[in-house]
Amino acid sequence: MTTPVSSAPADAATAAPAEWGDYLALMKPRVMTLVVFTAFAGYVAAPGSIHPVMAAIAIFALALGAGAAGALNMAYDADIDARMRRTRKRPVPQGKVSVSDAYGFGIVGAALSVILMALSANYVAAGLLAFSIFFYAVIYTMGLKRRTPQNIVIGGAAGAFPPMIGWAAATGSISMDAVILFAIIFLWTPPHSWALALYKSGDYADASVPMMPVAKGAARTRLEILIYSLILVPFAVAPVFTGLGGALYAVASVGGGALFLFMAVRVWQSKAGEAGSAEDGALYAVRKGDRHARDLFAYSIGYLALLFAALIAEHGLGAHIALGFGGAS
Amino acid sequence: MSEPTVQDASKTKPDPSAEEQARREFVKARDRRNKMIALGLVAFAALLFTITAIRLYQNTGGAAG
Repeated sequence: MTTPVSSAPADAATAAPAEWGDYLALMKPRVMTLVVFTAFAGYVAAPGSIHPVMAAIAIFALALGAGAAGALNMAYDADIDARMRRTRKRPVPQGKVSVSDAYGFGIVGAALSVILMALSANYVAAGLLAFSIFFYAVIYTMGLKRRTPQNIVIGGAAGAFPPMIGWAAATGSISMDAVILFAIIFLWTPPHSWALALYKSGDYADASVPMMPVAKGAARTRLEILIYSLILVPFAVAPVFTGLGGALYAVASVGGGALFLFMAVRVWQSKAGEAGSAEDGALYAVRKGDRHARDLFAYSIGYLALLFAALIAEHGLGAHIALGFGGAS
Repeated sequence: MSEPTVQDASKTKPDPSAEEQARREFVKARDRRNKMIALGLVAFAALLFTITAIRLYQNTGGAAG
């Protein structure tokens, strides 16, 4: 396998073996947290269960798989990570972990996670996990990210798999509800990622990554954010009509969705992304005109967490009050 | 940067004690990493053992699967 790194510091072998914290950073712990959370929601919401220890091992396997995919992403993207303010402190561009070590860690981690998932849950969940790692590391990272402004739209599928994997771990199959949970995250990813890209577009331009604001401009990105938000919000309410979501979920999805739409409209009406990237490399650092994009980015994380927390509360803590739509699951 | 002369080269000769110190730190870091790998392998084996034990328990009718 060839690596895209030519002269980045990551190309050099590390001076000393990395610390465990460097490997933890390689696994993108923040992304891992969201993956575990949504997978747990999928598991809890599913009409079935496995032994609680097996479930814990399956969730651990999923976290390991997500981390391994993150390591493979960082290994391949070391060159562009070194050019972007937001990512240049990652362990590979910093030279703390070599590219080959990151690949090794990612491949071994991915293999172990799939084996653990197959043994603790079932082959359906293991197959989905293997496919999602492949999708993220190969289809998205190596194939789409540097080639098309639709990278995040198609690549978003990788991040949408966790609740479906959690569901499959519990039931051994995939149902319409699992597909709806997948679709919610799939449709949530573009407005979430493009809101960030709007106020970090200079970063992506420096790295020659054709994110929507770089390739098509800020105005088109703001419009697409609005369009995807208009599709996402009704989809997020859909579990209420299939019986998966109860009263609590209905309140969260309708109220949270209304606020999401309000913020998306505000971004659409704003001049976000016109001023170029924020100078500061911090995730939430923003120029004055980009504030609405930053707010949508931050809120989108809370919105997704709210939806899945409502499902966990309803199915895991017995707070499910059926509204009489669809069949109870 | 100017070309180092013969005299410069003798001046910039690495300090043996610093080199030894760096070597010791490298070995220490490598040992730490090796211990982490060993710990990871033990944890993986423990997980497999746990899975096997639970499956055995379920298959022998100890609990509803």
